[in-house]
This record gives sequence, C-alpha cells and structure tokens, in this order.
Amino acid sequence: MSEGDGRTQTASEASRGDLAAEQVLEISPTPMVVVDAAGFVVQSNERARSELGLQNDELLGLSTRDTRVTIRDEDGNPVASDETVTARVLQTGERQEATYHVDLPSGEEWWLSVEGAPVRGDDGTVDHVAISFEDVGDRKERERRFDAVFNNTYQFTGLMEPDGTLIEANETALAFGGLEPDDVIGEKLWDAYWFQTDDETPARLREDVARAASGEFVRYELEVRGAEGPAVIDFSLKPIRDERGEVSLIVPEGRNITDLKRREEELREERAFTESMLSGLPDALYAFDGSGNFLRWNSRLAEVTGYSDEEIADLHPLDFVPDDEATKIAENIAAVVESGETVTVESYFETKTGERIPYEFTGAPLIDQEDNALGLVGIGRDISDRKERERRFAAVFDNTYQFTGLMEPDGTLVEANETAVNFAGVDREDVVGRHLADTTWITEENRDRVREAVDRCREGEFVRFEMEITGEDGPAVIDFSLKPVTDETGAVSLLIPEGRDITELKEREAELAEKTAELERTVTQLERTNAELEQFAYVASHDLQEPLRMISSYLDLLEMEYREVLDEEAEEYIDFAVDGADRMREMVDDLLAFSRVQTRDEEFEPTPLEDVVEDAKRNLTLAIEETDATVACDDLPAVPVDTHQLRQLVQNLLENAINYAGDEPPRVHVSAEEHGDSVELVVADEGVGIPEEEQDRIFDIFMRGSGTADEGGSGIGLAICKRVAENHGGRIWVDSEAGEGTEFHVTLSRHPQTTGGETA
Amino acid sequence: MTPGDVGDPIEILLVEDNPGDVRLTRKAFEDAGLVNNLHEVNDGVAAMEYLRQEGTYADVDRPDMVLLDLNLPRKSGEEVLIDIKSDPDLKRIPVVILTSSDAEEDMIKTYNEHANAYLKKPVKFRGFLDVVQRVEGFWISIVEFPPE
Repeated sequence: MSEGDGRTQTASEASRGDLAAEQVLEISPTPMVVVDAAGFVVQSNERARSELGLQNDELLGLSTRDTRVTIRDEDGNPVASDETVTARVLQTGERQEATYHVDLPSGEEWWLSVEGAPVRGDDGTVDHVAISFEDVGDRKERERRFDAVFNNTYQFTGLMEPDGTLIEANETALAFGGLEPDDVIGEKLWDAYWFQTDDETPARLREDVARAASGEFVRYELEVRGAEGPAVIDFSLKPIRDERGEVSLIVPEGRNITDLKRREEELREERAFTESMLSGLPDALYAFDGSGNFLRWNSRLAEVTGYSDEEIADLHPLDFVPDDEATKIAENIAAVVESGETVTVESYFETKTGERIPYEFTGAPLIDQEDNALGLVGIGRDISDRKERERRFAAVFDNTYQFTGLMEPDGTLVEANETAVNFAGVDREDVVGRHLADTTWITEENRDRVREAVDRCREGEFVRFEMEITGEDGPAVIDFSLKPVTDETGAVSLLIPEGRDITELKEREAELAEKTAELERTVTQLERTNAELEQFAYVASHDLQEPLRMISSYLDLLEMEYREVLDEEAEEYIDFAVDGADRMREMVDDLLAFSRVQTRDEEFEPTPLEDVVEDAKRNLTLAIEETDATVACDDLPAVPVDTHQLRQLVQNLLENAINYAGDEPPRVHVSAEEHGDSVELVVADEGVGIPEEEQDRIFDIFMRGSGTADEGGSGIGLAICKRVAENHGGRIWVDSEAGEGTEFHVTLSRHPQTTGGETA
Repeated sequence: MTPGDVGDPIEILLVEDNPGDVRLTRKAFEDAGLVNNLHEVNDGVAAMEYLRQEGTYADVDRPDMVLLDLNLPRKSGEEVLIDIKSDPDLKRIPVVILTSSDAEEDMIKTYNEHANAYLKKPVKFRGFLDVVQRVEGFWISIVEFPPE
C-alpha cells in the first residue's frame, strides 16, 4: 500500500476503526481483495498477493471485467462479466460464492474458491465488494484424480448414506446397468436396478446395509443384474466412520468375478472330463517319479495287471514286466527320465498271476513348469491282437512258397519274405531299402522292365509277366506280378510284388512243346509216307498193267500161233502162266481201286440207303442168280454219302456174304439202326463165319479169308470198306461166329465232317 | 477219193513207245488183212515232226489217222493231242487214243481235247485184234474223211 494513493488516503480519512480494519485485512490469513463497482481491484492483502504471486501494482488495476482475464466455472463454461461473484454482489447486495478457474493475461491460472461480501458506503449503498478467495487447485486435482479412479476402475463402487441412500455410483456400475446417475442417486441401494434379481436379494441387502451401518464389514458373492445379462460379483459393504467413530458413509463395492467363476467351472468340468476319459481309456496310464514310485495311474492299469491300487502304490515299474524284459525296459525308462526322450517299446505286462500280455509302452518325460525332470508319464497299449495278426501274417508271409514282399510306391522294397530272401541267399538287409529293380534277384536285362512295371503299378495298374530271376542255386522263371494297394482316398500307398516259381512248369511246357513238335513231325512224316504210299499204290497198279498186258497178250499170241507145235505139257505151263497173270491183274485192279478211294472230294448228298443197296445188287445180278442168293433189305434211312464209294462198300459186303455162304444158298439181310448222329448199317449173313483169331485182321489189305470157296478175291474188298466207312465219319467192325454167320456193322455219320475213324 | 480204196492205202501213224504194243498192233493189222501203211514213231516229239513233215520226215505222206498212246516219252500223248487239235493243218486228222489206262479222268480229258475215239488196249491178243478190226471198220472203211 502506497502512501501516495489518493483513494487510500480518502479511506484512511474515514475513521480510525477503518485503519484497524485495514490492518486486520492486511494480516488476515485469508487472501482478500476489494473491488470497486467498476470491477477494479482497489485493495489487496499480503496473503492475497503472495497467494497469487503478484505485486500490489500488478494486482491493482486488474478488473473482473478485463477481457483478457478468462473465468470459467467448475464445468469449464465461461462466466459472463455480469455473472461473476462481484457482479452478483453488486446487483443483490448479498454475499455470493463460487469456484472459478481463472486464466490471467500473464499466463498464470488458478482454481479459486471465491466469496464476495458487500461493502457499503456512507449512503448505505454497496459500492465495493470484499472478495476472499482460496486456492483450491490441490483439492480440484485430488477430486480429478479421485474421479478418474472412481469412474474408471473396473470395480463397481459408490457411496451411500448409512440408511442406504445412494449418493454416488461410479461409471462402471452405471454402465453395467445401462443407467444414468439420476436412476439410482437418491434411491435406496436395495431398490436399485442391479439388485432386482429375485424377491430375496433386496430384503437381504436391506439387512446387510443395516449391518454395515452398525459398523460391520459385509462381504459375499452375489449375482446381480446387468444390461447385458447377469454377473456374479464379489460384493462388499464397507462402513466409513467419521472422526467421532460413527458410521457416516457406507462404500458399496462389487468386483465382477463372472469370468473367474466360469473359468473355475470350466476347469472343474475339464478335470472331470479328463479324469473320466483317462479312466475310460482302454490303455493303461501311469506316471512315476525318478525313483520309480507311482504318482498316478488310471483304473486300467489295475484291471490289466490284477494289482490293487494299494499294491501299485508300493510297486516298482519293473515289477510289471517279465524278468527277461526288465533290462530292456530299465534302459528305456532311463532314456526317458535321463535324456528326456519319448520312447515306444514293445514288451509285456506280467500280471499278478504271472500272465504275459503283449503291450506297447510309450513313455515321455514328466516335467514341471521349469522343465525339471520329475519322472515318466506313460501309456501302455494292449497289442495282443496285433501280435497275433503279425504272427499269423508272418506265418503266411514267410512260409508261402511264393516270393512276396512290400514296396513303397516309388519301388523301394520295405519287406521281403523268407522264401524270396532264402532263394536269393542273401540277408533281408541286403534287399530291403533298395529299388526292386536294383535287387539281387533281378537280372541285368530285366532291370528296365521292372522299373517300368513299378511306374505303371504306381499309376494303379496290375502288372504281370514272366521273367527269369537269379537265385543262389541258379536262375528260375517266375510268374511275376505287381499289385497296387490303395488307401481310403484311392491313392496308391503300397505295391505288392509277387513271384511264383514256374521253372518246372516252364520246363514241362518246353518238354511238352518239344514232344508236340516231335509228334507233329512224326505225323507229317507219316502223312507224307502215307501220301507216297498211296501215290506208289496208284502208280504201281497203273504202271503194272502195261507189262501185265504184255505177258497176257503174248501168252495168248503164243497159244494161238503155236498150238500145233506145243505138246500137252507146254500148254499146261502156258495155262499156269496165264492164270498167274490173270490173278495178278485182278490184284492190280483192286489195288488201283483201293488207292482211288480218296477222302471226300465233293459234298455228300443225302441218299436213301435202299437205293445204294439196290445199285449194288444190280451189279451183282449174275452172282446172285448163279448162287440162288436171297438179299433182303429193310426200310433204310437216307444219309449224306458219296454214293459211288458207299455202293462199293455195300457191294463188297454183299459179295463177301455170297462168296462165304458155305454150302447153302446165300441168305443176306441188310438193316439199319439209327443212333442220333449216326446210322448203323448191318449186313448179316448165315454163312461160314469168321474165326475169332482172324477177325482183327480181315480189314487189312490183301488179307484173304480162309473159308473162301476157291478164288474169293484179292483180299482188298474189306480194306476198301474200312476206308469208305472212315471217309463217312464212321467205322466198320465185324461180329461173327464160325459156322453161324457174320454181321458187318458200318456206322455212317449224319454230319460227315472229318475223315478220321477207327476200326474195331 | 475215198480212203480205203484198193490201191490207195490209208496212211496210219502209230505213236507208241512200247515195242511189244507196236508189234501187237502190226500183227493185229496184218491178221485183220488190212492193207494200210502203218508208220510208227516212238515219242511225242517225233510224232509232231512226222505230222508236220519236218526233219527226217520231210518226205513222208501226211497220215489219214493217228493211233496215239498217252504214256509217251519226251512229249505226252495228251500234249500231242492238244498240238494236233490246235493246228489248223492237222486238226481234221482223226486221233484214236489207245491206252492201257482206264482212269475216268484220262478219258474225260482226252475227249475234251477233241480226241475222236478212246480205246482201251485189250489185255489179250484176241481182244486187240478185235479192236483193230473195229477201228478199221469204223474209221477207215465207213467214215468219209474230209478232203485235204
């Protein structure tokens, strides 16, 4: 305060009491300024200056109306110059207060709690305002921080009167309920939205609030209602006591533990599931520590081994395997526990009763969260069925006499049976892992062929061929095949090579082929010989005729011309010579006839056999008349025949019957029997018959019957008959008894195709 | 002019390789009292030369009839027959086939080749004589030969 200040002078002139008041003002611990009606600061005290950090001259002259000074209320809204505490005091003449945020042109700012009091002039009008203020910046900061915590915590929280009236609720709580502050502030806690879950909760809450009001800390889990659904909260009511020790406020809090509860529930379920799963597994599960003490196991282990859970607890893992397997198992356990490997091994469980059951054990290290080895966790699977299948498979696989194996689709041999391996005289390791084409069995010239077969088989084709392979004791020919095996997707997953030793078969085949060829050569040879003989017979009989004719002619000429000079004896000689020449001529004629019975050279015409018999009879008219013979003929069927040949056959048989009739006039009977595809012609006589010892030779050429009357013939007639029968797809045989008669049987095919036949 | 007239003997060519048959034929002609000029050649080639009056046969008379054996050396009787029947100068000459063959196919073949007759040589001389007499009777005495 300066002495030179006129106004101060004026005031100081007012009274001594004023001076005292001024001094009081000056030393007041409350910062105060006095503002005139125009809003200018006219006075300030020490406290105000120090509080604001301004010199007196800086303070004086400041005006509440100064546009450079920005005043905002607690909500941050600017305060108009006629709305300030000063303006309102001047307008109303009463005390006013407010909290302002003030920005000075100097750049300084404060949160100020301002209280204005009217100062009346001599005339009683309010011409000045005494403003006391307090820097509430620290408090506002605390409030701001509290707010930040209060509204941003994920906990539900609030504040209420001891009677349960809510006076605050944080954003988290409001947002959870989808509420505005007005929906709950001023209401009783138990009436609030969150707690309207059932009929009991509000009532219970009311009692709890009463308990809290009496100083008790209340806490429990409670389900509450939210806009998005219910939640479980860790609910608490905390009483706040005032300085007198009385409960003045209660802080309700809630922590949403729904997720936690759910997780807990899930874990419980998961555990239950795992437990039930483990006990339901067909596999035995167990865990033991580094010393071999069982830590856990499922019920299967007990079931399989026959030991009770109590017994298992006292047993060592090696007690469960047979003695002869113990070393192997111990090594595997060590590998798991000490080296941290996961090991699968096939072995056996030895049960309490000593039974061995094939099992496959898989062990993995049991480790804690810090990767420290604690022991072993293992699973044992019953492989009895598999072992049995393997045993049976191996029995078949290794004992079949076929060569067989298994291959990857790329041709790599993964398995070969004993038959194949033994044949090659190698170890399995020598062939397994190689491409089949590169194995010892395959000969150099077949490698490409095998490789190509593998390629085709890989595409799904079944390949099969014969090839020669190499074995320890020499080569063999096999019937080789490659079969593709497809998986469930249809892709070729395996190839099965098989080979069957057909060496002997091939040898027999070769032998057979050789024999067949030899036979064919023989047949060809015979056919040629036969053809030559036929040709010879024809040529001989034909060419013999000429010299024979010379003999006959000149004998005739000799007899004619020299009859007078020859004596009786000479004539006899000539007779013998003529007779011989005649007989020879007859034979030559027959031989020629025989050679001319060719195999069929034109289509056979169906001909009634009766006609044929009639023709033959006509040719024999003279002989029949001379001998007074009877030739009876049944009704005969029509058969496709070479009429000329068949007439010759019938004629020869009739001639035979007449010639060998004996003393009685010949009686001949021709009949026929039908047999489906053939007709059997029978020529029966009652003549001398044919002795049994001659019956099998009568159809040979130049064979003459012994019972012939004199010069029965050349002995070629029946040979011709045989040929004719054969030409007709039939055969001829004789049924005769000496002295009783003879039956000649001739079969004739209804469908003469071949020219073969047999003679009985 | 009519063949067979006395003083104007028929010229007959006998083509036969078998001397026995030649002799028999000559004997038969003599015994039958035929006064013909019977000439003989012994193979098919000579037969054709004779008929065409070639070489050593340049001066012979052309035969009025040929008695032809089928089984001949050098050139078969069948070929001789074909040559004769396809030669405009010779085809009118009657050819009588004389053979010991009685094979049907021979007979058919020679008739197809325009043989004028086919006669099987008889086995006995008496038969031979008979044939010659018939040939004479039919071909020489009865049949009028076409004018040359």
